[in-house]
Amino acid sequence: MMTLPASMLAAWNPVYVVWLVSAAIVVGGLLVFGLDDVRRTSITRVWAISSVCFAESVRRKVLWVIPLAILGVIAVSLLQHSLDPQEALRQTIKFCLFASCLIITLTALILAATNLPREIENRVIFTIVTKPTTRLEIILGKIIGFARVSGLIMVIMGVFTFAYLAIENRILTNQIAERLKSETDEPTRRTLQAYQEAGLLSTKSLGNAVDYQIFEHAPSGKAGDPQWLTGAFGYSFIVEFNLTDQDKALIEAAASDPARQQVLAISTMKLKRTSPNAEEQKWIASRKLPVESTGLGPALPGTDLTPIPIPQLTVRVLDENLAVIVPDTLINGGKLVTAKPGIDLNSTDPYIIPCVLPPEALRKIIQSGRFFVQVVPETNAVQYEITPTPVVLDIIDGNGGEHVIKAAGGPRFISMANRYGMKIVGNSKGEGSVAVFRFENVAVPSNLDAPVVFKFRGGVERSGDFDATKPWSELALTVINRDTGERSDPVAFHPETNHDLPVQVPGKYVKGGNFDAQVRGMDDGQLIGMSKTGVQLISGAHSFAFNLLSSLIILWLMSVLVVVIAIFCSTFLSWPIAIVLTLMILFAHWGVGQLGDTLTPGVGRNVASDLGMQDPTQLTLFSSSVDALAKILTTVAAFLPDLAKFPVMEDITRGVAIPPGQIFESMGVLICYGLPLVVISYIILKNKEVAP
Amino acid sequence: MTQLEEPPRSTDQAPRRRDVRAGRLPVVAMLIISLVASGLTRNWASNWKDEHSGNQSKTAERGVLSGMNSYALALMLGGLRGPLVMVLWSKVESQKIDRDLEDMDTMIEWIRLLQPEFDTVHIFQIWNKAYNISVMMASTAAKYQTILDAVDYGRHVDQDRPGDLNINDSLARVFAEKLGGKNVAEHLFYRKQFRQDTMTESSGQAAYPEEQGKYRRMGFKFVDSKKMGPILDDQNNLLPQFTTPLFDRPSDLAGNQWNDGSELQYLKKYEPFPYGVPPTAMGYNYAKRAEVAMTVGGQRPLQISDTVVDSRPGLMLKQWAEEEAERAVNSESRALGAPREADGHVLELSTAPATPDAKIPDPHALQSAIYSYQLTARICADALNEYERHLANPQYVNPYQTYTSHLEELRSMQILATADAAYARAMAGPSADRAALLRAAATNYREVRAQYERMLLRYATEEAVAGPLYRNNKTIDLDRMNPEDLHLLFIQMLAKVAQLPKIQREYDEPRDDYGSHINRADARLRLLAAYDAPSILQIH
Repeated sequence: MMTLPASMLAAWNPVYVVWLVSAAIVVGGLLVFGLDDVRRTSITRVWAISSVCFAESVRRKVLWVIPLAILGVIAVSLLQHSLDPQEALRQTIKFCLFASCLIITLTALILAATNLPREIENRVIFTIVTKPTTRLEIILGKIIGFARVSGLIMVIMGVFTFAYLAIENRILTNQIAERLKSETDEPTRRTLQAYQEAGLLSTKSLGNAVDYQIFEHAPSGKAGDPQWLTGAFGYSFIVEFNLTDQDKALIEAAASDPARQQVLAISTMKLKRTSPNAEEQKWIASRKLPVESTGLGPALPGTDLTPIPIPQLTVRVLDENLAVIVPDTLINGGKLVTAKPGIDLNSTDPYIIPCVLPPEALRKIIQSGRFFVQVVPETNAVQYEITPTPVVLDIIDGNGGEHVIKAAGGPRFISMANRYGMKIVGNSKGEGSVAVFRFENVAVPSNLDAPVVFKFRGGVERSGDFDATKPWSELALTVINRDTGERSDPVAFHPETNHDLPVQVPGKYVKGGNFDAQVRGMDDGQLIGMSKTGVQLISGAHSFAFNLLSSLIILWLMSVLVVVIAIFCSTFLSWPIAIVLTLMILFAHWGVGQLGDTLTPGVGRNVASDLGMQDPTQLTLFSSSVDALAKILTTVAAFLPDLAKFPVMEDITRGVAIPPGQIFESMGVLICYGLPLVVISYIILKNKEVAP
Repeated sequence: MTQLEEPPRSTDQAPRRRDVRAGRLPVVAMLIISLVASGLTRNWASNWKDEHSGNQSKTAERGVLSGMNSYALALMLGGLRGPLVMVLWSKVESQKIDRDLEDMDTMIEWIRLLQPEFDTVHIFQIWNKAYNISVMMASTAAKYQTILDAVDYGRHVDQDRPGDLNINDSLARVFAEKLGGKNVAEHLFYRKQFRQDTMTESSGQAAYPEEQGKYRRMGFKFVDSKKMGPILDDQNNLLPQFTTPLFDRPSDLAGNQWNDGSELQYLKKYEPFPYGVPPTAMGYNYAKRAEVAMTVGGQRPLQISDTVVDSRPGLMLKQWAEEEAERAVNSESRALGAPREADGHVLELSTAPATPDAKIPDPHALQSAIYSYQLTARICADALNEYERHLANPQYVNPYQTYTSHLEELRSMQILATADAAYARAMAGPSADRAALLRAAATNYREVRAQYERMLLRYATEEAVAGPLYRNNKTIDLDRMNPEDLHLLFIQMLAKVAQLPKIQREYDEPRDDYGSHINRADARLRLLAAYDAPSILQIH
């Protein structure tokens, strides 16, 4: 078989390579080795072999593991502690599915890995191979047989899971009804009502925002209105650039002739400069910010001698994931971009603040083609006006001519991020910064006369200043329908870190599917982080039973993959080794993912220095060996099945509908890896002497 | 078509299978016998341990039943308890770092069940919940509930292993430091909420009419582990299940201390609690249980010294007295028509000018203040007894050096509370003993002013002033001076301190602290027409 060079393989997407290799093995293997056996394959015989496997498994009291698992689930779920009823049910779903997953995969693994070696050892296989059955039928029969066992366990566990969850749902719903009778706190009541109305076992589909920005001040909503940002408060904006070939050529020319040509990122903005207060002065002094000259000699009576800072900006060049493309040390000589000093503080003319981009930075920009410029206002006591066109690239050619490259769109406003996402700052008057989630053409519930429910999830970095009269931290959600211009009243709710909260809003505000959801903190000193999925619209309700079935189908597909790999391994290994190898094949991809950055190039040097190696030769040899091993591990793992493609628990425990495409994706992995392994197993078994 | 059949079975297989089964029977029987024997051995060991650990003898009954859970669990897990616990520990810690609190509480509960015999585990988890996890909560209410979860955890362990010193000590700290401690910003919310949570709905409404419509019961699960409910009955007495003794006192036991097995044994004598049970009182109760478990039961503390355990009851009574005094002055302020929560020192000064005939817009709040003043005086007396008991033990080296200021503070607090109680009773309206009350108030205010002045002169006066003025003068004995002379000396001291540059005045803080008490007593004495005196604040 022709082999591909390693460099080519590396350049290829492993997924395509795996599909290609898989198809080659299936077609080649069957055409070359098993065309006769394929022709002779009888479904009846395959089914009969599978029935024998199934019956034998049942005879081996495999099903006895089910009541044990059920007892375990009940015991464990009785011992659970949870923050609220929704979480209690989610935990129970997790326990049920985990138990199902565990017993189905373990049973499948043990049965499949031990079957062939045991049959060969105790010579039961004689009775099969001496009959006119093909080795392909034996392999297929065994796989189907064990898949049937997994299926049976899955059905029993599925029925138990559904019944048990229904009972628990009923108990918890009654508890919610009881609590609602005495609950006086309005936002908590609304949350409980949302649980009660939607049902704890609900399954929903979620509508996602297409854009998410943090504004220091709520946007007016009118196109073209500027936004004002306060310097040194952690707010900034980004603009996108998409270079055409002509742009690239201009920049390339400038990069090639830095002595005569120049490229500048020019920010144009009005500034409101005020005399810094005592706190700001301290800050300015501690950061050693440049200040306007106050002149020499004694000042005239009444003259304010407070040092006025000169406005500054930080400019960064980022990729689409907001990772830095050009190191900060290259931009503007590694210094902050500074406005021209000496401008009258009361001037209303825009400031033009240029930032020099050196040739090294330009080459990276050309290579990227599409990039983002982030501009961070850095100076205290300065308000920066951000217009729809705040930044351009300006190219001065060799003849002194000027070429302007405009951004691809308007500015997007962001803030400093914490581990939960970008932060908003709370204010008890509702005047803090605001997170705006933009929804476009999102599917909305059919009945908009009833309230619609948004799901909020974020992280509370700081609860806010303590107020004895406010036992709960508070956020408020406002929805603005862009089609009708209607704006809802702010709906208060109590957030908790990494906890899904339903927030009800009258349906009319989401009509048409084009709306903005704005979240604000309502406590002074509060800091809340949110990601783009921090606010999602629950756009539809689905059957939980169907979702559970989808989840179990994915689980079953995974168990079939386990069976196939285990049988493949058992065709040439003893059963204990077959089990180990099966586990390695199954978990290698996931395990390498868990190791993450530790396998990046350079790991060898780190390990060597950790071991205290001093000898340069020894160090080089060791580090290159470790690097090579890491590379092999990463490369091999990339071509092995990814268990993350079988997401049994993720969506269902969050109450989200599993998309049908997910089942097909799991099925794809099964086919991609399962079929070639069946063919290889068949070839090995065909060439193996199992009977005299 | 080929039909597959099972291989033919040999006819002699049936007897062989019977033989195999017969061979298994002894093994199964042996397993069952071993299981029962190990259970019995464990019971015997547990009983022996309890019999030989002082007052824990009868608690074994409860210990066996609850201990069976984890024993059965350990058996069910087939020896995998250790690895499972390891996984759970690391998962809990990593989730804590990620602030992913979903299902974390469940895992902590599993750790408790899987490691029931390890006090260090429980000490850590109680602390973990009360201190680490509670602060991750966004809302004050959620923090409070998480702290009560820590209490819940500790009480579960206490039920499994009744009377355990370390668990009682941990519970005492959570109550006193986390719920009742002034160092926590949220203490104003915690204290009030906790008191109300201990009461029935009707009693709570009667005690806190201003909270009607605002109060909601939170996370307090003392009676039923699944349900929130009060620990006081409608008469504000502790429910019988918390005070009914479980064990008889052994006749041969020396001393008068004895844990009778009831959970709130040491609060019984403070009944009724018309304004709920404060968290500091709960802290004292568990601290006392821990101390008796050590001194009488012979248990040894982990992670802390014997001295700490022995001293805690006195310290926690002092803390309770301080909380009660603060509550009293808040109530007095409310009674006078200033319904605001504030620092005790601030309110002490703002309420001081109220005359005995002042208009009382909120008589209910005045009754609350009288109750708290009287209780403060009583707790101070009990705290002094506790300190004396602790200090009487010769094993604690040089203890007087450590606790002299505590003792003096307690004596002063007791006198001030007695004076305030008498004054407040006189404010409540005409009564036959009003003149006697005012006289008692004046006497006590005079005495307490002298007490605080003496403390400041002795401990908190700059050497540059104290030396020349009185410290180097052997004829001046602060303990023997009468209140009037002491007051004059105090005034002189203040005048001289006022002349010192600010940077040299190292005792301004204690002067501010005790100064509010002195000024209050002073203002009241002036109102009571005893005599006139300048205010300490005039020198600042």
